[in-house]
Amino acid sequence: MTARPVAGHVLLSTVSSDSHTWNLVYLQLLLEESGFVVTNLGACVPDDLLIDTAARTRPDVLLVSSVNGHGHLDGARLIRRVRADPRTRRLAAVIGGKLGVTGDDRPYVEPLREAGFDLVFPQGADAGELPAQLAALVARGRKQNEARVA
Amino acid sequence: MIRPTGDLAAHVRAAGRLVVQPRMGIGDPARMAAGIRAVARAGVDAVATITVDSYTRVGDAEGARDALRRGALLNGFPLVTHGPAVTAEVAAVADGLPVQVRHGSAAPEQIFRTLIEAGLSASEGGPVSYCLPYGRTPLAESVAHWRDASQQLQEGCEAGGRRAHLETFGGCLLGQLCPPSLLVAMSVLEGLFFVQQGVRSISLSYAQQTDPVQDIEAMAALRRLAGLLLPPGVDWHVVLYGYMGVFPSTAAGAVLLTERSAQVAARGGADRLIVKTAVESLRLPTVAENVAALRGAARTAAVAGVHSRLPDLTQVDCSEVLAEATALVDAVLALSDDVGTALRDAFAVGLLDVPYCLHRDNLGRTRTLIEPGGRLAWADRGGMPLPPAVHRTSIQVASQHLLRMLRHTADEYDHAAVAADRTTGPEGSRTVPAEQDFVLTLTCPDRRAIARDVTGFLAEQQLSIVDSRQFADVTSEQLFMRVQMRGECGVAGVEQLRKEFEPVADRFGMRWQLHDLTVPHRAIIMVSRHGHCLNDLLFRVRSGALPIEVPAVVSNHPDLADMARWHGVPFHHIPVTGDTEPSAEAELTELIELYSADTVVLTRYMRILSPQLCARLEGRLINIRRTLLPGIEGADPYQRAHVRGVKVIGATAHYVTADLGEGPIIEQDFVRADHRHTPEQLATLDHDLQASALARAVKWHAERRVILDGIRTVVFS
Ligand code: B12
Repeated sequence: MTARPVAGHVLLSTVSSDSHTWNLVYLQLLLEESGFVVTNLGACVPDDLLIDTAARTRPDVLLVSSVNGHGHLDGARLIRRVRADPRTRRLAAVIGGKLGVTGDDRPYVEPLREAGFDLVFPQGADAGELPAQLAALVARGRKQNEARVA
Repeated sequence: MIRPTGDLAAHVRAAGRLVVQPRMGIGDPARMAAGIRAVARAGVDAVATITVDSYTRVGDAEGARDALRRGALLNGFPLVTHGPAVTAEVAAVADGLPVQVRHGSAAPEQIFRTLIEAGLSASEGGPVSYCLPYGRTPLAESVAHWRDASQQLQEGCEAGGRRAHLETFGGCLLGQLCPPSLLVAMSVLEGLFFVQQGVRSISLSYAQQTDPVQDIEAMAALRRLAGLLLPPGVDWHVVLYGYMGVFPSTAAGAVLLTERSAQVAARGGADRLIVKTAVESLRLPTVAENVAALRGAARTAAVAGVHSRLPDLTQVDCSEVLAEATALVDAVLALSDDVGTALRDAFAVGLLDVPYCLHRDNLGRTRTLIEPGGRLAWADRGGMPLPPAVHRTSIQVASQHLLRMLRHTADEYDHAAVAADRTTGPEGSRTVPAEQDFVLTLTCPDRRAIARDVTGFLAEQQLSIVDSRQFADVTSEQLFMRVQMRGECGVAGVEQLRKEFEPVADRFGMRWQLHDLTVPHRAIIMVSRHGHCLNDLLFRVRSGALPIEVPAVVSNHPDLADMARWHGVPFHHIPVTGDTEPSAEAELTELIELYSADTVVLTRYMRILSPQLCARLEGRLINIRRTLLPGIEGADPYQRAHVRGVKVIGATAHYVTADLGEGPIIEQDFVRADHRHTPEQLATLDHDLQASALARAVKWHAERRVILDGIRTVVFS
């Protein structure tokens, strides 16, 4: 195996009430193949555990995947808490999957963005594009950080 | 006083055939109750379900309350938050049908307490299967919770004079990509765990995987192992979960897959089937979608013996899966006399190890592959004590490979649906409309107020009239009426409507029928050697011009088997000679019942049916006849017609009755001919005429436009 440059560190998680993990297993493989280092928190992740892990490991981006239909509720609550915590206030954050129970996630996109997600992918969005989109987010974040330091 | 709902296991036993059950969970109590009522009235042997939402599953009462307060849609019924009184009210509409609570919680004490207080007694789960796939509760804690909760359920139900029932979820685990031997072993082990906690009524689950024959082998192994290990006195049955992994993305593909589930259930000897719906890959199903899926499953299962080429339990070789499952169970039980402790320790050392499971207490060293033929196999058995592999090697799975395996079944059925599109119509054509059409036909002595009372009844039932026809016969002073109506109460079932209509009918002395037009009319077609009418009918059915289903073609000759097959319809050859007539008719009767055929259509079937059979099929047996001048019928009719220079040839479609050669006429047609027509041309004219007259007659009959009036009919065409 040859070592590849690290594209970024992704904290991969689902929301507190969601037990689905095949989405997480798949997304982890997908991102690792694109050179990301992935921390996968598994099923039913309590908000506190997620925020503490983020504060401790300082990932480049938080990727939330939820398919049980509660994503729009849990996701909104979670990201408000992430934004309220000084340690994770600036963490780039993305959510996607199946966010409601009706099959149509469009009504949730704006509210979730307003609550604090940088990108919201409604049901039906192509996960294949995700590595490139996350890479762009990571690059933007790093630039902002450099600007702040300078 | 809270009225307890029915005993699940007793209900399944009493049904004596496959019982179907939805995965239904709705946040709002009124809508949950409506769902249960619809299941109770679906007209199938069913068990009702309350599936609990995800907040309640993880013990987040606050989350559930908050969502309810904001009117947000939950993915299930928040049982604990609504509490026992509301739950009891909701379950009461099941009308004696058992109601099972399905939940997915590793700490189910509160859920069990609520259901006991609500008068319920059946639930689902297990210390492993409601832990590893469902969250991050440590396995040891889940075992402890489940030990207490199972005992509490047993004692609580007993105190209420009921029998606790628990179903293992061990036969499902993560829903997909788990080789059957581990599922069978987990299901049996969790069954033994329940028995150790004092539960005496259990069911053992197995979830359909990628290959139906492998599934039937697994179900055979499950039965064998359970029979060996469960102590006498335990009442147990087998429940199949319709495919639990990624579902086809087309409605047609999903319907095909759910049909396959019902066939596997029937052939694999399941007592109960948990049914998925056509929208599984997209969103939560509606009540109507659930009911449609239940009816479809019941119907498919009922004819699986004939319709499906799958082997049954006794015809498969289950030795491989049985050997693997036995090895796993033996190794686990050797760890401790206490099954809970043994399970916990088995995972710690990797004697049990679920592929692709992220839970911390699962070692995660095992991997699965799908063999070229479609069977699941071990790619890596980790530390599990399995007999040596035949050909399996360890593999590194890439994301696209994983996705392909996850989508294997979905893709297979999506593709099959595209291939079958020619026969089933465009995608989605088989999903159920939210509204249903009913048709009422009646005749009675003509009096005033009949139409008023009938329309009044329809308004009461919130049905709107789509089409209404009547005919008052002045000679007999009889009124004939046909009303087609539409409404949402469809889920309440046509049975219920019939019951409600009875008083109106009695008031006027009506002879009447009420039918659900959304249930396809099923007609068996019988034929001898002349295929023109058969081919024409089957073509019209396929092209959607004739709104019926043809479940089978029956013939006394093998000649037309290919034609039936080409149209995708099963062909049954029942030879008839003088002395085999009774047995041939018995066979035919069996087929009619097996396929739940509404009607039998004779398309140039050249044998005479017995008066008994004709009487039994009164008003359901249609024939097509040539109608030529007397003296021309007989051998070589077209030659004779040519010689005699006939000027018209005709065809008659009619009901067959026992005492008459020619029963009530449904439709007749004729064409003019003259001296120039050769015998062949006359034959062609005649065949076309017969085919079109018969097709009209069958269509009107199926649409309930024909009302029998003694030896004649009234047709509202
Ligand atoms: C397997 C399965 C389960 C297993 C899960 C085991 C496990 N640990 O993972 C079990 C049986 C335990 C289960 C349980 C439940 N399930 Co479930 N389950 C499924 C099923 C059949 C397949 C899911 C799967 O494996 N997908 C494979 C992965 C790779 O695909 P995916 O998750 O869809 O992710 C893809 C995309 O969504 C996208 N994506 C995902 N995340 C993200 C993020 C971003 C940023 C982007 C761009 C893309 C993206 O990329 C992936 C690849 O294409 C689906 C239905 C289906 N899809 O056919 C239902 C389904 C997801 N479950 C559902 C529900 C409701 C439940 C339950 C509540 C029980 C119930 N009422 O039926 C519980 C959940 C309990 C809880 N606490 O959450 C619903 C969700 C309803 C909704 N959202 O409208 C579904 C849709 C079924 C249904 N129609 O009712 N389930």
